[in-house]
Amino acid sequence: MGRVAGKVAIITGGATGIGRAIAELLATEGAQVVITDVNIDAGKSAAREIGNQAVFKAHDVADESAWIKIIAEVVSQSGGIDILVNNAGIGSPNVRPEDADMAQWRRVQSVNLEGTFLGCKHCLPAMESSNGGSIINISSVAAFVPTAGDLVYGASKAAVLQLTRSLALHCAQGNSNIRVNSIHPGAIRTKGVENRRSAEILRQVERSIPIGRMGEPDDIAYAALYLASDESKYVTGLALVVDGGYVLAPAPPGAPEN
Amino acid sequence: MTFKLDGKVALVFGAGSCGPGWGNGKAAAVAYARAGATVIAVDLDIDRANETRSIIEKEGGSCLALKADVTQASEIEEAVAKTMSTHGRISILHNNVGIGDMGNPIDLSESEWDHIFAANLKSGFLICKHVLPIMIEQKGGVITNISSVASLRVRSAELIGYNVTKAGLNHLTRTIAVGYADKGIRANAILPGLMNTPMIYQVRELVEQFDDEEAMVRARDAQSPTGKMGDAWDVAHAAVFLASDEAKYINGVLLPVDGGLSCMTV
Repeated sequence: MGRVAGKVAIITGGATGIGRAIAELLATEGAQVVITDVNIDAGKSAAREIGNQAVFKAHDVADESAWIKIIAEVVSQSGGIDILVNNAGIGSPNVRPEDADMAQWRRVQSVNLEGTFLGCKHCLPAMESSNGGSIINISSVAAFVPTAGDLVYGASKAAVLQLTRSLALHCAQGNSNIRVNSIHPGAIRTKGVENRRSAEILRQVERSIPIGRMGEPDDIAYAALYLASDESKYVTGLALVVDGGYVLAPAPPGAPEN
Repeated sequence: MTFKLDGKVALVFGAGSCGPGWGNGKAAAVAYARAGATVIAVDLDIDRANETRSIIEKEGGSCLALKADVTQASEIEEAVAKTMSTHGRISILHNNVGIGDMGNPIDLSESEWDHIFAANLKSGFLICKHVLPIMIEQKGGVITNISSVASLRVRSAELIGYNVTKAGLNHLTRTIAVGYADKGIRANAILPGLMNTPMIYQVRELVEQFDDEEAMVRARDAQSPTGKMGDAWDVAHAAVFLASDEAKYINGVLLPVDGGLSCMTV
């Protein structure tokens, strides 16, 4: 018997990386998973590889009408929604704030922050009518640790943290049996990260992490499984950091303290 | 059938329940056993440790019950030595000991303060002092300390000893998490919120604030954002998760199990 057997889960940005790992694990543990992504080819092949329990839907999380459509489809096809993983997110090129391009700023906020909120907004009624649910927002350690060059991303992820806590209280006080938590991954070794960063940069990153290595997508997936399952039925408003201890003593890049 | 903690040895301090029903330590010990671990149930009161042992054994698990007063370094040392001579390793150290003695800084005597510190905080230091060398030698281990949401939130000065020691336990946990991460040791704390466990009925001053126990339960339920206290199994499930390899990249976190209570705090 799987730990999320019979539950219906939506995972945004589920085609690759962390989202894909979450979709796979939830499916392994018995959930029906709906993978959404803007990357249609990768999304289709992810759903195909996971098998009968997975479907793919093309989806830009910043588009409210797309959310309305997808949630109506999932509710009519699967009878309800039990788990929502707001995982879709984008980064941005490092720029000086003085030079920031506001279109770029708005795009990051619209995917990372508004996309997360839209998912919550439109899933809440569906979860309320199906006896509760678990919403998991994938934020980042960037919500806690500022990076001078990446303030757009950090600001969006910090906003997701407070959005999560406010929604958690809203749901708890409304006796809706909906729990809302955030996960804050540290440096995770996804294929995307490996392709974008040089080996030397990755080694530098690893030196800044107490455990001495980057995390795997599975590490986030298991945290999501715990929060999605009824094992965590009294856990809400939690910001679960999965970072090997990085946030306890973040070191500036290239400047080890010891 | 395989379980998450197959082959692990879990040393649980404060594994007995101080009253009828399920306390956090007893539930954690049983949950570890159900997940496949061999358990060493240590308690100040050997009868309580034996009660936990008999539950585990009836379910087909393996448990050794030991008596130890964690305010006494020699008794901690003996419990650790006995664990090693019996099982040869300690994969999971679970420190559930805590006392909720009440008193504000004016009323609380110096000796009462010292006693709360010895039971709630110095115990954590002493236990780690004896267990860390073993975990370093065996190249890994998991330490889970049971703190409290009272380490973050302050509701009154009447729990100053409890609040301060639990805050200290948080930072003890994080210091060990950073200090021994490169030895394969992870340390985390679980922060229970308002729970319905036997302990709350034992703190006389707590019960006396209300007309009766039922009124206390109603008030504590109402104080929880979810409208209901949690129970010992909520803590136990979090502990099994943190102890398992599923949490292999989770180190130095404070994990509230509190129905959202602490998210209202910085």
